[in-house]
Amino acid sequence: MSYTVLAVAGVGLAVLLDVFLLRTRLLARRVFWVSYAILFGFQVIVDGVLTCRGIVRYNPDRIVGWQLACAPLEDYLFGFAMILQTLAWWVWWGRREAKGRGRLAGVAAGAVDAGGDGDRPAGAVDAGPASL
Amino acid sequence: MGAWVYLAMLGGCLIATLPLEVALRARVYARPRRLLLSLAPVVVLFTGWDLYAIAHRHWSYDKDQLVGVMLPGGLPLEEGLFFLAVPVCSILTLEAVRAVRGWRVGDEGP
Repeated sequence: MSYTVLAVAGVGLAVLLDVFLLRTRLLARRVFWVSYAILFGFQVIVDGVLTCRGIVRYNPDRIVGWQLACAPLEDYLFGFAMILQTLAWWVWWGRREAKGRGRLAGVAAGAVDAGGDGDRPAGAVDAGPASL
Repeated sequence: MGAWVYLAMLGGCLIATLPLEVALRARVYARPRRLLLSLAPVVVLFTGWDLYAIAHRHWSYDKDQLVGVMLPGGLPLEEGLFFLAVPVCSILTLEAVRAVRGWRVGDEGP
């Protein structure tokens, strides 16, 4: 298989994970696209150095030949797939931990209620968005 | 000197994003379990891809521009570290954007 085919498949798998398997839906969020734009800028620089200096060399028979800053188009697909998949897993694990803590906080608040101190609503313990 | 360029860029990525952890409270390194669980599938999949690509000559490396440490399968040390450094920098970027803009990421919980 060519790098081109694998790169398109890599993007496909990352999209599949984000939309259907993990349901993180990062592709529909501004936070993802702004982050990706920043990372894309750095990728052009790093990939440019790696390929323009010839640290990494591509087999011309395995790519379509379109380039940006010396790097083949396929590298940018590879980067997009890796970034999307990484962030999807990060959000997915964070969501699982948030659910687990929500349950624990509920149990803890229930125990406190039983003890006669019921002024703290269930789930109020350390539940800020950046608290994981 | 040229042998250190690749490794220096990876180090630069980690050093440049380190202030995000502290100044913006991105809290990525502060959640090591979640970080390792997120990195594991990415490292396995993309290292496998790299090994396949090396074996099938999709790309090759100029050994004169690498530090010279090779991992099993002909994977340069730099490539192995790439699959750790870049995901970490990506997550730090996401968390920094969230911290600055306050946008929802999808893990905010019930």
